[in-house]
Amino acid sequence: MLFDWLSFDLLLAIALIALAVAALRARDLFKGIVIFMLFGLLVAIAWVRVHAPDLALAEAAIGSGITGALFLGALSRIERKKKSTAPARLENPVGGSTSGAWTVLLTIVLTVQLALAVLRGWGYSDGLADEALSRIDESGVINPVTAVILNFRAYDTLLEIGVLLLAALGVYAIGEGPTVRNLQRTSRSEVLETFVHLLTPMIVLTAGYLVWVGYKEPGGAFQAGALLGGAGVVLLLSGRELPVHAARPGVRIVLGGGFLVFLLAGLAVMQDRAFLEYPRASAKYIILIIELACTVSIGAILTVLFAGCANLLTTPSEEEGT
Amino acid sequence: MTHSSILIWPVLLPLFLGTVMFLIRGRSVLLLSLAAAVGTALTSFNVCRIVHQSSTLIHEVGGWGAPLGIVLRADGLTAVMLGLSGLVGLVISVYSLTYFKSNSRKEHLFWPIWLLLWGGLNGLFISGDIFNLYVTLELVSLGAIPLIALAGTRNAIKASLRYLLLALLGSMSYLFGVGLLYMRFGVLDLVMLGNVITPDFTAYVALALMIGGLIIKAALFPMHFWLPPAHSSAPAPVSAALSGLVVTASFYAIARLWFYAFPALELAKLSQLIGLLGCGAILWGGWQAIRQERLKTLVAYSTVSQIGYLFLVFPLCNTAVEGSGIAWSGCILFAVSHAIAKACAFLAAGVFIKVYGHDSISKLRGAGRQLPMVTLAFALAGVSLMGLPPSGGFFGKWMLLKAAFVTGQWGYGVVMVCGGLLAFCYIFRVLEQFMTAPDENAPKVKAPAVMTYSVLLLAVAAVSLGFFTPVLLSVLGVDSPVSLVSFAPEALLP
Repeated sequence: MLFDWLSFDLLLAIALIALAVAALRARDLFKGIVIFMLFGLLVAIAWVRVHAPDLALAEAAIGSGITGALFLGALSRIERKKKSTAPARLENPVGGSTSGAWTVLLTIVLTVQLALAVLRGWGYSDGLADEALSRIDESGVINPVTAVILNFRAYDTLLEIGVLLLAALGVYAIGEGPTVRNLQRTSRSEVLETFVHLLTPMIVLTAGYLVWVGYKEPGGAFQAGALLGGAGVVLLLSGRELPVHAARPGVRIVLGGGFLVFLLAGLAVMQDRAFLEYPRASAKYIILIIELACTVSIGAILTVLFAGCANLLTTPSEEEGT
Repeated sequence: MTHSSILIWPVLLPLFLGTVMFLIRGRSVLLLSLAAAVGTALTSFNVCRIVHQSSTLIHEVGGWGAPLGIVLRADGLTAVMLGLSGLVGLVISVYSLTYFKSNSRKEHLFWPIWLLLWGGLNGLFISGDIFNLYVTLELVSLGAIPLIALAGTRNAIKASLRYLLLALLGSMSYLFGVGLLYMRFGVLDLVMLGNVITPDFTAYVALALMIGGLIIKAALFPMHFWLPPAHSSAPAPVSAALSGLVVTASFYAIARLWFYAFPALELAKLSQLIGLLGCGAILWGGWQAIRQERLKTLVAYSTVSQIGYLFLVFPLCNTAVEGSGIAWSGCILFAVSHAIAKACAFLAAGVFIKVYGHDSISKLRGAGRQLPMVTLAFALAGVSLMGLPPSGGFFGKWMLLKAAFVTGQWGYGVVMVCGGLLAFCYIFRVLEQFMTAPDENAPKVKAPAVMTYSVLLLAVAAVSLGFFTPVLLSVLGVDSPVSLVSFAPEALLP
C-alpha cells in the first residue's frame, strides 16, 4: 500500500513539472490556458495528498476554475480586439530563445536554493498546530482551518476581503464604461439553456452547503464564494443579463457587503474586548454570519472580475470607438 | 507596554468609511470624505501622542495574543510613521476635494480606493506579525494600482499594469520567505521571531527572499524602473500618496524586519551590497531627474534618488560601532522629510497641470509670477529635497553624513554630497524657468485656493521640520532598536 502511494506521488510530481513546462512553452495561448487549468487540478490533488482538503477545494475552485475562466475571458478580448481569426500566439514563449535559456537556468538555480532551504529547515518546529488545536474549544467551530481563518487570525482574513474588494474596484477603475453589455446570444442552444437552468441552482445549493459545513469540515466562505463566482461566469457566458455595473447601488452593496459585515462584527464585540474578540457563546453564529456575507461578496467580486476581463463592462459603441 | 484599542482606529476608520463611500454616492461625498480624512489623521496623531507620553502600545486582535493570534504594536518608529501618514494623508485628502470633478466617475472610485489604501498603510505601520505585514502590503499595492489607472490615459494604465506585475512578484517573494521562516521557527510574531531566530541557511534564504521582494516594492535601484512611469502618469494626489507614503512604507517594512526580526543574523556583507545599490540610486536617479522634460517625471526620478539615501542606513547603522545610532535617527528623519517634501512637490505639479493643462518644464516659463504661492511651495519643498537648513532634509542628511564619518565609511559621505549637488541642479532647473518673466500676452490664470493652500501647508511643514527634530527624535526613541544620540546641535558636529 505504501509503495502504491509513493509511486502515485512520484507520478503526480512529475506530471506537475511536465504540465508547468508545457503551459509555459505553449505557443498557442488557448492551449497554454487549458494546460494551466489542468495543472491547477493536479495541484489540488497534491493538496489532498498532503492532507490539506480545504486548500484542495480552494485550489480547484480558484486556482483552476476561476483563474482559467479569467484567462479565457481575457483571451477572447484579445482576439476580438485583433479582429482576426488567427488564434493569439506568443512571440517568445518561455524557454524558446537564448533569453529563455537564461530564464530556465535561473529558475533551476533558484529552485535548488529553495529546495535546500526547505530541506535544511525542515523538522525543527511543529509550528502553531498544537497551540491551535488545544484552544479550538474556545473558537466556536470544530474545523481547525476555519478556526484559524475566522477566529485566531480573523484580522488577516478581514484585510484579505478588503484586498478582494480593491480588486473589484480596480476593474472598475480600469475598464468601466457607461452601461453593461452582455455577450450576444449567437446561438440559443436548448442544451445550453437546460444546462444553465439545472446547474445554477445546484451551484448555489452546494455553495450554501460548503459555508454551513465549514464549521466542522473542509469548506467555508472562500470555496463557496468561488463556486458562486463560477455560477456568475456561467450565467454571463450564456448571455444572461447580470447586473455587474457599479452605477447600480445594489451591485455596490453586494460587492462591499461582506467586508462591511466583517468590520461591523469585529467592532460590535469591541466594548470591553479587543477588535474581533467574539464572545465564546456566540462565536459560532458570528462566524456563520460573516461567512455568509463574505460568500456572497466573494462570488460577486469574482463575477465582476470576469465581466471586466471579458470586456463586458463597456458598450459596443465605445469599444468600436477606440 | 500598554494594552489599548486606540491603536487600531487609524486602520478601522478609513477602512469603514472607505467602504461606506463605495456604497453611498451623491451629496454626502464631501461630508464623508472630510470626516474620513480628519478622523483618520486625528486617530493617528492620538496614537502618536500616547506612545510619546507612555510607551509602546499593544493590541491583541481577537484577544488570542502571540503566537496564536495577531499582535499589533506601536512603538516610537510606528508612531512617527503614523504621524507622517496622518499629516500627508490629510493634506492629500483635502487637496483631492477640489482636484476631482464633483460627482464624477473618478471621484466615486477615488475615495473608497484611497481610504482603503490609507487604512492599509496604517495597518502596515502597526503590524507586529510577518504574515499580517504581507496582507497589509497587498492592501497597499492593490490600492495603489487602480489609483494610477484612474488617470485613464494609455500610459497610466500601462504603467499601472507593469507595477501590478512587479508588485505581485515582490509579494510572492516576500510570502515565500514568510513560509520558510514559519516552517523553520514556528512563529509569525515579529518580536517572538526576533527572539528565536538563529543564523542558518533557511533563515538567510528567507531573509533574501523577503528583503528582495520588498526592494522591488520600494523601487531601490536597479529595481526602480517601474516607478517613474507609474508615479508620473498617476493623478497628482495619487502621485503624492505613492511617492510620499507607499514607497516609504515598503522601506519601513524592510527596516522593521532588518532591525527587529533579523538582528541575530550576520548582515554586514549584505548591508554593504544594499548600500552600494543605494549609492547607485542616489546618483542615477539624480542624473536622470536633471534630464527630464516633464515636471512630474523629474519629481519621480527625484524619488528614485532620495530612496537611495534611506537604504544607506543599513551599512551606516552598525550597532557594534559607538555613535552609529545617529544613522538610524537621520534615516527616519530623512524619510519623514522626504515624504512631506515629495508629496508637496507632486501636489504642486498637479496645480500646474490643472491650470496650464501640461507639465512640460520648458513651457512653464513665468509660472512664478502667475502662481506665486504654488511656486513658493515647490521651492520650499526643493529646499528640503536639496538638504538646505533649516529643513528636515538638512538635519537628516547631516546625521547620515556624520554616521559615515563615525563609522569610517567616507565613500558614502561623498556620494551623499554628490546627490545633494544633483538635487540642486534639478530643482534649480525648474525654478529658473518659473522665475523667468512670462510672455507679455500670457493669459491671467488662477489656481483653486484649497489646492494652493494645502500645498503651501505641506511646504511649510517640510521646511520647518528641522525645528521639530528634537520632538520627532524623542518619539522615535520609544523602544528604539538602537540607542539614539540625544538631539543636541553639538552632537551633529563631526
